[in-house]
Amino acid sequence: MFKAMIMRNHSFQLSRELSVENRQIFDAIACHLSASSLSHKLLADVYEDIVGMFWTWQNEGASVREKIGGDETKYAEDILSAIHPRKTLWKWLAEALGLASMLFCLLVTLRVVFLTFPQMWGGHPASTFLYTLRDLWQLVLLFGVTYFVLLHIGKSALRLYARGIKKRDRFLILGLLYFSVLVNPFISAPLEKVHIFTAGLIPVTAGLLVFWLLVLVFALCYQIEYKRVFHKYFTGRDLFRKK
Amino acid sequence: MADRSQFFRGTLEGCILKVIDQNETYGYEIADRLLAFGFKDISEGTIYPLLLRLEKSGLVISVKRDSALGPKRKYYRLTDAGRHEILEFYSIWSEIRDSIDRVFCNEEETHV
Repeated sequence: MFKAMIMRNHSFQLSRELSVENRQIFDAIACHLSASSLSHKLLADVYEDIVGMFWTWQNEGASVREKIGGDETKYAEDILSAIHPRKTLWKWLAEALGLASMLFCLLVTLRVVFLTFPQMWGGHPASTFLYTLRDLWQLVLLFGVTYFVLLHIGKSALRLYARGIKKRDRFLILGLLYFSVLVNPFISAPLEKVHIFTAGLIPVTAGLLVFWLLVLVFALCYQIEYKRVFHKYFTGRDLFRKK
Repeated sequence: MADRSQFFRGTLEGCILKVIDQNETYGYEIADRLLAFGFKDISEGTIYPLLLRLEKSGLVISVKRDSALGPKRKYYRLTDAGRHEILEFYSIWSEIRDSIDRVFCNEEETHV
């Protein structure tokens, strides 16, 4: 996943070296592909191949549009039909579960840090952590937004997404925004009365510490991978520029 | 009626496999060799989706290598399944070619 993100960024950086016309063709293909169910890894791989080909043709003085057969949408569809991307239910569940766990821990941490701890310091010791239906509702809302941002916008970068945004997606984003601002406050209040579970504050804090430690390890892995990939990338670019 | 792209569909994949069978190679070189063999309107761009399909089917494998002239190049190599596919492709192609030849020869005989 980390490598896919890095490779995708690398391809978008390289696409900046294309001419305006060629970059528009690349953007159109990338928009089309990012709306499919191609995995992050496969998508990054295809972006890298395409931008590499475009870059080579441009430097040879060849017409990119001619090389891909004159129609970028058809070309993107040819690529998709060659791969037949399909996301299995298990893969979707694993992704959703991972994201939900991350958001759950994030929300619980925010509550512990900004509500429970200040209460304790203010002389109201709270030894238990109470999880209500309101917390779950907030998690669902945040999950919806994050899932959308990561798996739809995140695949193509915001710049491309803004160009290729579909009417359905626009309607979904606006609907969710209106719902959160106007309706959510009225729904949240009664939900707070429904308790889902209570847990000791010490085990909750310990669990959160372990979780964030794991996140830190992953972040470090990402940084190491990033440096490894980009070191090679920049070395390659310098080599080319000398010629 | 005689649309070249319709003729190409299917047969081009077999030819790409044969070109890759000769030595490990990359998209640009494959397109060049196909052009040299007389395939018209072929470019690295048009064969890229086919290479993706062959890779997904497990007939070829690819590895990316640094290129002195710019971005990395993807080199393709045939798998055992790919070699088997070439034999099967050529046998089917020979059958079809013979059948077409027979049809056209027959037609010529009746006209003469």
